[in-house]
Amino acid sequence: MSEQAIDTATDTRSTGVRAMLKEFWHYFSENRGAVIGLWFFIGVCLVALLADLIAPHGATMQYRDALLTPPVWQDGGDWRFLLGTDAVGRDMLSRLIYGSRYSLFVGCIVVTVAMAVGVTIGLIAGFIGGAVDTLIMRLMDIILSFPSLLLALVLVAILGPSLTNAMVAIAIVQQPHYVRLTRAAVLGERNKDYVTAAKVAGVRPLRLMFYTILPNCMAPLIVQAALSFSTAILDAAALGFLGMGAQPPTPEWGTMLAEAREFILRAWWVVTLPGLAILLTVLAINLMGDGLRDALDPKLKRS
Amino acid sequence: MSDEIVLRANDLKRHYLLPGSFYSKAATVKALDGVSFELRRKKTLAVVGESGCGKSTLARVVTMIEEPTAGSLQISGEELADGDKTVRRKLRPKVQMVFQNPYGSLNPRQKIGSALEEPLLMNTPLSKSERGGKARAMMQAVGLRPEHYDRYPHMFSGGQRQRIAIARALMLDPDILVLDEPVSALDVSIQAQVLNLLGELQDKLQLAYLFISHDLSVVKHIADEVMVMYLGKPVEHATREVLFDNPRHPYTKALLSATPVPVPGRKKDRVLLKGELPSPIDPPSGCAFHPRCPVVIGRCATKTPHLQSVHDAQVSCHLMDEVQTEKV
Repeated sequence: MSEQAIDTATDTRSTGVRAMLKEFWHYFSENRGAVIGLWFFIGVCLVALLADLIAPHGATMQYRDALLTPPVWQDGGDWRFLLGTDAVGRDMLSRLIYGSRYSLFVGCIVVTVAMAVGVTIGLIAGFIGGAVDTLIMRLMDIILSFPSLLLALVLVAILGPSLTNAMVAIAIVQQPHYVRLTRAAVLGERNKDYVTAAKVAGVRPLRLMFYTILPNCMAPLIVQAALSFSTAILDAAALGFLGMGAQPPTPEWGTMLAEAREFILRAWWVVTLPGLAILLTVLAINLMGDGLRDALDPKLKRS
Repeated sequence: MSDEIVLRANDLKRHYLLPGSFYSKAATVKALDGVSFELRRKKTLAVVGESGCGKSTLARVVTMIEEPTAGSLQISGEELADGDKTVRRKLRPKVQMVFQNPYGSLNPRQKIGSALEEPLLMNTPLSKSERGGKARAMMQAVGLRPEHYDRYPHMFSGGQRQRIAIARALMLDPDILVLDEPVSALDVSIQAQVLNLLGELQDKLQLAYLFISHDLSVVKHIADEVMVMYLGKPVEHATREVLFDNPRHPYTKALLSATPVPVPGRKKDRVLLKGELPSPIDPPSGCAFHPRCPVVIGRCATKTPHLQSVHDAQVSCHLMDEVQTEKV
């Protein structure tokens, strides 16, 4: 029968994860900025992981003989302190290296918490609909109506200033974005035939939500996760700068900025370098996020 | 045995309430307004009509996706219109469905094997290996190859996808298969393959088909009985031979005359209908078809006709009264 002819014409394309990754890389690598961002981000991750091995000094080690030493390439620079020291004689390079740990830690935890909570709430709102949906979405609208940093500040002020509380506050502030995104995606998928087919096959609501619908809503969520990773780092740094996040002597980049504020005219490096670290990391992650969107968002795909 | 009735619908209705707002009154859409039929083992009942006539609503009610507003629906002699959850769960495997669009009815993130095993996972206590074995056997039965087991839907053509959808519907060993325009999204050459497959499976597995379509040439090929629907109501119900050779209702005549005949130069007397399908929110009074009917008579606008036996068919038309009385 002619069936055979069709079957032999079937492709031998590889299946599964490898093929998906290959396709992903094809689209991702078209965006050069994204690739550069990805490499920089991988670099930051490696630095954070290997901080104990690369950092020349301890993060809180004070050298009383070398207060405010400029970087090596300036007059008075010392080869022991490549990027100079701060006002109490701590090595800037080591502090920046250890600081990357905090930034990535904040980013990971905030994104994980905000995403887990936000996706679940969004899934419930989109799937159940009706009054539940209205209630949840109005609540999210209320959270969104506050400027996010201000709300985080209020929350930290209530909870007490510390890095953990800052992370909790930032996660709460970010989670409405996930709720909205998930709900929108679920509303789009909910009435498709494959969901109805699963219902006819007897699939129960919980499995329908998490197993049938959720995987088809992941693309925008991954992009949002990447982009909000940088927002989380930025917000944590801002809270640290305002004295509401990580407390001294933690080598958190935002906190370092705040501590060094008074030396801005005398010793540029103590202010500039942490600022630059924040800027470059956030920029790299944003570029990477753009690339992810190009690669994952089916609406932007040119097949 | 082959005449066993597996599904009996009696005066089935499905109305949708449209909530009123500041500008409009609340309204009821009578998507399905009193449909009765029986499905027999190894037989195919085709439901035809224009879009919006309630075909798909009928499919959704029969597959228990939606509950009927009124009327009774019996599957294997058990009533399920009352909405008892345990009865519905028990009867759900008996009725399965194949959807119109094979590109939308398969989960893009689910491998074929897992899609086929899902109904078993949900409804039977079978172990993983038993499920796998059944899925592979079913894939072979519908003409798919074993290596397709680990593939994703996007790697298949439309015809193959529809085979997968059919295989999934058959995994639970149903008595009834609801086919909602299963071939209208496919190429004509593939249509024949899928229709032949459906025919083979019907013989082999003793299935009853509820075949929903607007393509009369397909219906002529596969149906045993045909029910023509207009605005949620059946207007004619007869065996295939009777309906195609001797259509009685003016709407059926118009439908049949609209089927293209692939013979060049051959002209047919087309019955052209005026206007559009009226809105089911506000159906015309009396016979719903009267504003478009070419042979409308006086009482059509006021009196609602009912299905009545006319020779070997059931027709819902006032003209049939005359036929009856003439005969007597």
